[in-house]
Amino acid sequence: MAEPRRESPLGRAPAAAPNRLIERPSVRVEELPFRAILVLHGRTGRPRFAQGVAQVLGRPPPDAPNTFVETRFGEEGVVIAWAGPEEWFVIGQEEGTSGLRVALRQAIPETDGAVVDVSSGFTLFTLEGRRARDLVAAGCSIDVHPRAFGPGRCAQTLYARTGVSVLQRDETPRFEMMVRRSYAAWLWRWMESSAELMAVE
Amino acid sequence: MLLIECPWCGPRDESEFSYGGEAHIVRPPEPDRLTDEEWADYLFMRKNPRGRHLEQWCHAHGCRQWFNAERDTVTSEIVRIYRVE
Repeated sequence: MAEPRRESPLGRAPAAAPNRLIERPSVRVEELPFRAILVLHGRTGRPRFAQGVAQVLGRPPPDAPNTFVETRFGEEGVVIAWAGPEEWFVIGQEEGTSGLRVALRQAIPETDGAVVDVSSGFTLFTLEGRRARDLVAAGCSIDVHPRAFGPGRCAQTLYARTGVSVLQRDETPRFEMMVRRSYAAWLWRWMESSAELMAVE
Repeated sequence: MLLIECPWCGPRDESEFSYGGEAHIVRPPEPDRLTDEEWADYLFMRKNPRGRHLEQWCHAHGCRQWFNAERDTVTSEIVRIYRVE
């Protein structure tokens, strides 16, 4: 039997992204495929939910809208990003080996919350470099100026006319953008031509 | 383009929202007891005021929450935004 072969959402469209890297001196975009991505549902007011999450991830999910927290699951760096009043995205590392889903399901009683694996429905891009902020601003109406946005902030919005979650990871600035997998190539092409139009060097 | 203040996410572009029509329409508790006219009134008849209008909006491309807004249909000024209780 042939070994199952994984293709990243962007990798399915090689014509769109032959080297799967936008690399210019001031901005760099790369796909981060095969990440463990979960949707977490529950009320932080319910102790069994909040404590269950904290037991696995070291802290309860953030209550403040449009923020995320960085935490750990063992050795694994994990992000918990606010997605709605009772909903979060949990983004871990390698989808195939991450025990996140199992651990969270065990820790949160079914009556108090839900954990759904959506890893295969999305892919992530990282945007970094001096002009990464300009590239984010080019595609959406969110104010990403440092006075309004910054590390630890995230937003769900329309970017290049498709729904994305944008997270600012640090001040360099480095952003991550999460998009539905079938839009990976579209988003990629859009960012590539935007970088060109903006004369990003 | 309207700038709409989502109760959770703050001011966002109109393109992120979907419109849900008139707010505060309550389903009759006992539809069986209604005349056809009353039922049709509940199902189909909506206010269409010139001026202040209470309406539902959903932050469809953001936090996906429904909320209510009071909007002036002439100027499109949003006078008030409040959560669905």
